[in-house]
Amino acid sequence: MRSTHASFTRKVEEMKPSKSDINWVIMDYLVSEGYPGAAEKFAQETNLPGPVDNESIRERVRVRNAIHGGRLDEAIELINEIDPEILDNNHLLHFHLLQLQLIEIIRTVLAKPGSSPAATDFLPAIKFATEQLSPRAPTDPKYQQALERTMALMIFPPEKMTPEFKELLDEELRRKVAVEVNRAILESRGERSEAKIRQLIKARAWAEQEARAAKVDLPAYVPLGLDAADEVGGVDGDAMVS
Amino acid sequence: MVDTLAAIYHTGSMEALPEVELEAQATALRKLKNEIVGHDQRKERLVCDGVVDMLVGVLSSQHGTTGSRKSDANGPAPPTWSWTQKDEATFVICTLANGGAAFIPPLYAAGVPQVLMDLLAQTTAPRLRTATLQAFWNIVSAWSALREDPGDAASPVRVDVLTKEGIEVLSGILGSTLSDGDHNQQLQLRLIADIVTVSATTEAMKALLCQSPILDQFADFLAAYSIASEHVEYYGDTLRPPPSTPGTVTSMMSAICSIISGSTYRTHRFFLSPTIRDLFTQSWLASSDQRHLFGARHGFASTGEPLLPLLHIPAYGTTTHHYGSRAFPAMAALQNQERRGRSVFATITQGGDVDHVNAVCSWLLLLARSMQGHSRLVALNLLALVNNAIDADSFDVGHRSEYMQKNRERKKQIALLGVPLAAKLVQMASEGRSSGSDRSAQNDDMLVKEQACDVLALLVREFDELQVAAVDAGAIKYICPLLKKSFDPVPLAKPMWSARRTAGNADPTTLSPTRRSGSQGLPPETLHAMRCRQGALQALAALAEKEDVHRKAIVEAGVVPCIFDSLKPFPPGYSTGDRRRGQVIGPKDGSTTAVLLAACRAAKTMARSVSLLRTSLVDAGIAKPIFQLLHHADPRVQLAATDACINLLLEFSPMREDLIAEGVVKTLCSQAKRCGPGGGNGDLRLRVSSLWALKHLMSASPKEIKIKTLEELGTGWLIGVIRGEQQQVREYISAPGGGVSVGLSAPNAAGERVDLLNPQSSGMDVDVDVDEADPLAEDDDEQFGNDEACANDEEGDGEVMFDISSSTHYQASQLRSTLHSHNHPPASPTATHVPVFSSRRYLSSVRAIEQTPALRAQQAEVAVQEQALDFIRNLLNGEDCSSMFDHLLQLIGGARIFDVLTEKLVPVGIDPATGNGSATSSTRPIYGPSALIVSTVNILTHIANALPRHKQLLIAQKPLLKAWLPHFSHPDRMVRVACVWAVNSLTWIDDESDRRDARQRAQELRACGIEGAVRRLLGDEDLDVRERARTGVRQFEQL
Repeated sequence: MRSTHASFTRKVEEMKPSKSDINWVIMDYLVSEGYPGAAEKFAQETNLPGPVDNESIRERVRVRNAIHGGRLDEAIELINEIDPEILDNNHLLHFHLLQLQLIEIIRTVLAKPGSSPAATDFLPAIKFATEQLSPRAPTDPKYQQALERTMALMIFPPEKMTPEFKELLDEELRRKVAVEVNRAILESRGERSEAKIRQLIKARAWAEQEARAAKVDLPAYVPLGLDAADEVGGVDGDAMVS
Repeated sequence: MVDTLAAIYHTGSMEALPEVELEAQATALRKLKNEIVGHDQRKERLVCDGVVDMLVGVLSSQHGTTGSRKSDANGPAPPTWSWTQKDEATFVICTLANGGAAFIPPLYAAGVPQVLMDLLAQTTAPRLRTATLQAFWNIVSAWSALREDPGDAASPVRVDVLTKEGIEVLSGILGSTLSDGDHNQQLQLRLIADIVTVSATTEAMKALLCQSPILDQFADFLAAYSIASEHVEYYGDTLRPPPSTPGTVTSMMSAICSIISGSTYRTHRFFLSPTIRDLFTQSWLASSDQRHLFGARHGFASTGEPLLPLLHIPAYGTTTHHYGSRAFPAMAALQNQERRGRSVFATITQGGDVDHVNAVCSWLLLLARSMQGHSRLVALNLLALVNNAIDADSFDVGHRSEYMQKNRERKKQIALLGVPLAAKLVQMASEGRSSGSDRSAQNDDMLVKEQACDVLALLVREFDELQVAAVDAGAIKYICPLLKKSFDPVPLAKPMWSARRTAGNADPTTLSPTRRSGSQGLPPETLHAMRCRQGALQALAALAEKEDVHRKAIVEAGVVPCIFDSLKPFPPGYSTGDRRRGQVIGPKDGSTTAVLLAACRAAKTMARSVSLLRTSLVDAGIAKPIFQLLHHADPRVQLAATDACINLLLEFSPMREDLIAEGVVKTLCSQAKRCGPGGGNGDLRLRVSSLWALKHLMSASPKEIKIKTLEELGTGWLIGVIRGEQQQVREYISAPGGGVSVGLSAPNAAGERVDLLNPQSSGMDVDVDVDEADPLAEDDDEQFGNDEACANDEEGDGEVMFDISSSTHYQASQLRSTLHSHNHPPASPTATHVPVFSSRRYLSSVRAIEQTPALRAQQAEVAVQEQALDFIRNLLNGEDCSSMFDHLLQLIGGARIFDVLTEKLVPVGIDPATGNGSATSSTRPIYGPSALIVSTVNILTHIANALPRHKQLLIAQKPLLKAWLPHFSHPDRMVRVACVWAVNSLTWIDDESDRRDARQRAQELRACGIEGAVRRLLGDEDLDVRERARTGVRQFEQL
């Protein structure tokens, strides 16, 4: 058992990926995930050529910040400024953004000081839903369900909401949509819609799964080395032994 | 927000706009854009409010100012407000066009495509350029979906979108130098390629595109891509930088496919383009005589090691080719003339560079193998087009076995490496396997589903070897479910909801055309089903072309009912109005025109099986829908249905009676007579097919039917068709200064007639020509040098196409003579000398063969005449031969009949080449094409088979016999066989009372030299001819 592990570790050691390859992967991550400042600094430190099109990264950053900040109308306009095709052709994405916008409208009403909002306070939200979201609703059940849930936010007071409604108000949803948007923008420019490193990690997971299915001798746990927990708490401590 | 927008819009409409501050206008437009992106209903409302006119105003109002700006600034125009404003207006058009087919009529009515093109010609600003191209592409793609719609055929959107100027603008953009990694430029390249792909639909448009530099530019990009991907180690001058994204490469390959499809010449233009030639001559292998290493045997060893699997293909000692069908090996004797039609092509173009074409095919295979999904499909499509075009000229060059062997290797390579790839893609489409979950992958899957079958069909069409390869790869198993699935009901997208109840409060007809949105066309889901169905039917038609086994397998897969269902057009009442009221057209309700055409083709090839004709096809009741399609409004459908009818009217077809009862005779006769002389090619094709069908109807029919049909056609008309228009051809040939330098056939060095126009010959006695390869579309097989065509050669790739004074065509004839006449030693050194390949001259000859109108018309004429002669021949065939001949004598008169027949046998002209020929002194006659001679002589045989008095009548025609004599040494064996058969019939002794007459007939034949001619044929190279000649001589001796 130990010997196979040793041989595996040795093989790992023997694989020496070139520094520049690793740097390239990092650079790719910074560019596609939208960190222009970091990318420039990293380029200086590693002597890599800087990102070719810094402006396009900044564009994406602006969109992301707008979404994270809950300024959805601004985000939509920015996306249309980059390429109106993106939202015009991807109805689902457009719907998600509009849904988020509706949520933000409702959120401001809910957040108003005072016990419970009056029914009339929701009028802008209802108007928005009628004009922007409901035309699309009957075309597909998924739109309809999403709209219904969002509208339900106006009915229940926040403290009585079930988790499925709560998650609509969670800011995590903004992040999720922001990732989708980033991907769509990259795709529209004919670039890879995902950082290379994500693909590498997926490939690694797939390879491990295949290897285990084929009963190749592998250590019971191969750490990724990304999380601190991996380093310390490797399940049976194999990583530490060597 | 809508209200505020409406306010801005209304203050800024039409008249007011120019006066509004440009900045404010740009802001308003941006707001407009944000308002409608993703909201199709709002788009519709905006169009109703007249936004299109306003946008056109914005875009074209600038022309004056931009003109002056352009003159004083060379660089990109400064991003002033006016440009931003144009940007925004273009984006709004983009968005409107995304709304689908309904927005196309208003955009067209306002002339938006032209405005966009003008804008594109003026601007150099990258962002605006990209936006304009995007808008143009959105319009074009919606436009193409609309064209498949069976709705109103007269709609204005049926015109081409691209103009000559537009193509120049696009090609200018393609030619501008690329800066590395510029996103806008890469996007522009792709958009241009996509626009070209979709708009190259008509022959005229394709020809325009082919003449522009665009085709070469795309080829350059493709070559550059290959060099960058290290498929080829290239040492030539650096080419342009390759397109950076794989998607762009795919789009460019599609664009090339669109341009070159449907023409052998254009395909040659592509693969002989300078960069692609350089790709293989300037490579690591350095010299052109190393290029065979690119071929199948060496597996594209361009970088030193093979990039494709090596194939070991045993060399054949002889250059035989598998003819006929496996089920009827004996048919080979009749069919091996089948593709001779192309032999002239081969002889004049035998300088065709086989190493180069093999390299190109290997290269395309390599591209296909290096790609996935739709890209791979497009590469295979290109491969199929190239391979089909090459085949058109590489056949029957038996004198160079090395050449033959290399062609065989290419075919084998495609069978082993190409066809399975295509079949695999069909399998993917059939099993609905997806290549990914993101949007681009889904789109890719959809395209594969729509096109995989089509590409497979294109790849294997006409090559039995490849058809077998496809079936071995499981093609039928995967195609049939696809066809069946195309009839499944699809969930259609539900309409959007609107807070306002009625959108159209005004009567739409009162609105101006720029405000009235059109029909949405077929729902995209239905359109998708239609495309899948069409592809599947094409593929089945191709696989059922030759092999009976394949046809049986198709029947066993249970898809004959599907073919039947596909023959049904959409109901006539189909219109968009109905759908508004909630009635939606689904895939089960009918078929688009493209599907009808494919279904007719499938029915046609399936009906080539005698047993199926008598079983599954009758059971499916296939005759009735086909008969109905004969009356379809679209002439293409009529033609396809007539083609399908041809086999259904065969003697042993049980559907014959039904069709006659339906009134097929009347329909076919009126179709045959419909076009006047000088009608378009399409019309003549319908005439050929109709006559062909009638010809089949004549064989072994009851006498009443024969007489009725003859009556319906009219003997005067029939005789007119047989003889009439040949007069024009003659005039054309003899016209001074121009015209066709070589007539229908020309003598070779030895003074014998060599056939230059040699279309498909028909069979023997009963003409069951089951294989009706379109004689007009592709068999452009004639040699000529038409000065006029040279003058029209605008694109400048041509020197004179065929220099009459040069020896080229003359030499070609010689080569051919060594092929056909083994009696002569393969004589002069010039005959074996292969001229240095010149792609220019080669190209111009390919083009000349394909495109000269006079030749095309002439070929159409010959095809009509052949069918008309064969009609008479079948009329005379059978039990009632003598009474039918009597009937003809009565109607037409003996003198006239024999005049016409003589006319077919005498020379049609004098070879003009001999006029300035160096070696020969005598003038050499040119005879008509051998197909006509065969048909004529066969009629003689039938007359000779009638009563003794008919024989006597025939033998009394001295001019006829005189005209007949030269054909006994015709280079085409079919002619010789037919001649001997006729003699055998003439010397046959009917009964004792006929003996004296028979002897006298033999004497006549001896007197005019025919007996001697028959005796000479005892030593003929062809076994069939020898055997018939032996019978003939014996009969002479018995008398």
